[in-house]
Amino acid sequence: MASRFTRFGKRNAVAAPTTSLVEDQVVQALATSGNEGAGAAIAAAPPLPSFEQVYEAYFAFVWRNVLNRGVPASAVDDVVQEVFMVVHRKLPGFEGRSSMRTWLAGVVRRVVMDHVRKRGNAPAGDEPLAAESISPARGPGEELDAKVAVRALDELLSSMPESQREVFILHEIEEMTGREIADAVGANENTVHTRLRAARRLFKKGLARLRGE
Amino acid sequence: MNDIDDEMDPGARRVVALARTARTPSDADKRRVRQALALGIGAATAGVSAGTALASASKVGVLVGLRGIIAALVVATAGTGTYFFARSRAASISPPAVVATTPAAAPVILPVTPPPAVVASPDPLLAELSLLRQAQQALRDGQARRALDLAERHASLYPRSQLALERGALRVFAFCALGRKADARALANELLAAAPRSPLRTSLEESCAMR
Repeated sequence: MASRFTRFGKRNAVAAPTTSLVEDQVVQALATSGNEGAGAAIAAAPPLPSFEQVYEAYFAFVWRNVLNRGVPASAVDDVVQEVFMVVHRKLPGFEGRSSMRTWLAGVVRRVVMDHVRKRGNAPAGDEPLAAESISPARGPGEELDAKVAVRALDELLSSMPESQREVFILHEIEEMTGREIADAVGANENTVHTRLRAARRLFKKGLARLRGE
Repeated sequence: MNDIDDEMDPGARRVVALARTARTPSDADKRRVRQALALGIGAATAGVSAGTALASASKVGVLVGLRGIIAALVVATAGTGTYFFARSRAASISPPAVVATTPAAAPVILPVTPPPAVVASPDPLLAELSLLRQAQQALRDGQARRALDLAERHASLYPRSQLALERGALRVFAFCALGRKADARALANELLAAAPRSPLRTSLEESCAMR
């Protein structure tokens, strides 16, 4: 994948029709790696991956999603753990109708919402970001600090309505397709598309504001 | 999503890309959560089947994946009233409860039963678990000295074990049972400093080491 920011249409043009997601392919490869006949493995429906395979392949996806959804770093271990507890319990019932990432994104969504509800407060990021820290005036060769980028992202995400934020996260950060996101958040694809555009506009405006433009 | 006409500009992409990289977990994150998860799944399973577990402990145990990491570490030391169990947020998913199964005065151990397939091809991790289980059993039986010896043998055999924290916790409880409070405290402090967010924290804090 040349760029994580290519449009889905371009990616899908070169990827398998069922999914273009690297992790899904890894899981499928792992799940079929024990089969003797490679041809048969390809022809047959992919077997259900084991919990461990899912954990290995999607841990980073889940972790990032939890953080990007506003769970504070101090709670990320617990929330990620809880997500995988649910995965462990429900994986046997996973029928493969959606991609694994779609299914997991749905689990993350519910667990994080539950976490926020229990805590009784909205997801919160760090301290507000100093405007100058993200300014492009830092110099052309100067790398934007990763921590600053994280804080900028959090601040910009927190300025979005929840419905737009989750679409933005799943598309721009996790590269999920519109179809997958629609399944994960329970909206139709057009709605997802609309929310993404609105979220991008907010992101763009917010970033300009942070840069003092 | 093919006709999105307001693609993110390069500056915005850069922020997202940097943040994404910064938020990608390390291998240590992955291992740490995995360990807590093994304990949490064991504990939750124990909670669900607590009644059965007490009556027929050998049936408790859950296969968690590729390496057959199975852990339901529930230890109690009757003599001191000190107890520990795999406490985890995750256990709240199955609220019936681990707590109810571990009265301080009634030592309980929920053993780990690997499925036959795993037994057929011994996994180093299962061998480790077996040793730690023996240590737990010894602690439960009031043989704290033996528990300590087993934990120390585990340390010499598996110095870089993924279960080092659990081993350390067992040693802390064994120290407590032997009345070696200073040793318990020193070790507990080390463990908590190394893994401040461990699900074992509460158990350690409730042991003699911290009281």
